[in-house]
Amino acid sequence: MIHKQDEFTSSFDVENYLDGALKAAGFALPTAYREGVIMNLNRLHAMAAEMQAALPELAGPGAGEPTA
Amino acid sequence: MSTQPHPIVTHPIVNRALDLAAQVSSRSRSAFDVVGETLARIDSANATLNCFSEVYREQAYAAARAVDAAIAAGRNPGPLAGVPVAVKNLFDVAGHVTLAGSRLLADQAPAQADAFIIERLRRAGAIVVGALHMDEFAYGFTTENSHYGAVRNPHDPSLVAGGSSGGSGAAVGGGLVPIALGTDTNGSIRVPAALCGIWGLKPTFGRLSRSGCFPFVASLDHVGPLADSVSDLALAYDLMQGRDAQDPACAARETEAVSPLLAALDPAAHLHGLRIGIAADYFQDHVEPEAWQAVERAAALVGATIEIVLPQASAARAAAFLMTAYEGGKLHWPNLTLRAQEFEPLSRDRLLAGALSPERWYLQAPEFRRWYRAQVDAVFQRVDVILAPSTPRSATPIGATTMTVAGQQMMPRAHMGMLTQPISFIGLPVVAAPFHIPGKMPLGVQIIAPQWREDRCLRVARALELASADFRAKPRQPEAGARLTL
Repeated sequence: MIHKQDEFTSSFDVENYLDGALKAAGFALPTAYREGVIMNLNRLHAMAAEMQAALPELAGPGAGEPTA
Repeated sequence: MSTQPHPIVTHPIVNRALDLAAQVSSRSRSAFDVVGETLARIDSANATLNCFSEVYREQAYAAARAVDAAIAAGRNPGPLAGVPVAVKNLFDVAGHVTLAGSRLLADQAPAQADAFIIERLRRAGAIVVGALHMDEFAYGFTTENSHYGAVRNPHDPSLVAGGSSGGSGAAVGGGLVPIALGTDTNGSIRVPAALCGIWGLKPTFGRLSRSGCFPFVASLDHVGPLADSVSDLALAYDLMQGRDAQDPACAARETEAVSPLLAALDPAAHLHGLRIGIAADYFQDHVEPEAWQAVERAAALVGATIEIVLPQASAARAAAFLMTAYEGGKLHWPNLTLRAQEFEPLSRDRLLAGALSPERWYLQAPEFRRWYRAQVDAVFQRVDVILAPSTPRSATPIGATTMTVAGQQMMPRAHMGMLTQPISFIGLPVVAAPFHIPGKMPLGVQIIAPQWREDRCLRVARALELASADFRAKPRQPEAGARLTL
């Protein structure tokens, strides 16, 4: 069963997310890498949002069954 | 479906591996001489192409002597007798350090044994002449590796060779070896095959063993050959098949040889009974016109008229992107926390982001994959084979940070594989066919079949190769004196 998430309906606070993830991981990210990591996290967020957007099709009648 | 007229050109099909093996087996040439000529070509061209990370000179000569001795003693040297083969430098080769395109692994101990598929090729008489550059840890589509330099395209050294098996593409496309091995997690065989104008095969997930291959994304990693003819491609594939308990993903299937199916010289014989579809929608919307022209040309040659849609292909690509970042990031997390400065900078930032991305994003991807696979399975009730472009466009300049595709700007390193990802995501077999018309850079067409039906991919590939010189590899060595500063 696929569960939709609400996080993609609002903007992604990547700075805040990254700080929380780094704290949870106990890792001090070198400052020089931060910009590149943020850019890539934003790209992953966009990918996750795109996959999420496809989910209503899965949640409808016959979810998981071929439709084409 | 229409196609533009093309100038009639003739370019012979050259089965370099098969021809060399026949010559060596019949003693019209020695394996020793073949290796010597190959090494001379590598010495001459590698300064420009930068495709070899290591050349196994002494071992290659020793292996050649062994092949020649076996023949002199009346023993069968194998179907690849004396054929030079080169391998992406993430495969273990006994006695050599497996780099995986990284500086982090350069101080590791040499591999103690060959990778499973390399051992298979050696047993068939092949001679491994060297290892080939790649994107660090196979994370990229351009093989612009700041540690080891960019691999250059044999058809224009100012352009990329594609990736991550860029060294493999350049070594075959540059005429240095007839067969190379690569890996394909998201398109890393198919992209360099297309951009370098050669054939590539990404078999069904689980068909070929990955034992002795440095991993990237366990749920998506495939291994396979690149070659400059369909017959050579098929032969290498046949010889590498076989069960291997060391790779848990390797299926317990008997060898299903395809080479015997490809002998006919009439293209129609290979197409008999096949319903061939053309992937429209996502695959047509994200290409430059030249890349779609390749599909139209292939469709016209094989009589494909059925347009199909792979539902949510763009989301499938997104899901593959997420799985790759997350699994790849987690794999390298220990080194990222301790030795981040030693990573290739562009790979490092992508891997860090993947490792730090929310697990909840990743966990949905496998579920989405089950749904998507069912959709594609349903499409294969209507057609037996699907054609799609291999890449959105031809090779980009080395150092380019953006490329234009259908009016959008995007990064080549991350997006050149956007049309291959939705296919490998569900492990389908694909042959990447080279499309090469005079005066233009090569492009490619994916020939996609249901799981375990590599035979269909190769039958259509053989038909295309026989039907038109547009679909024949044209290996091209850099001109003498074309050395470039890397």
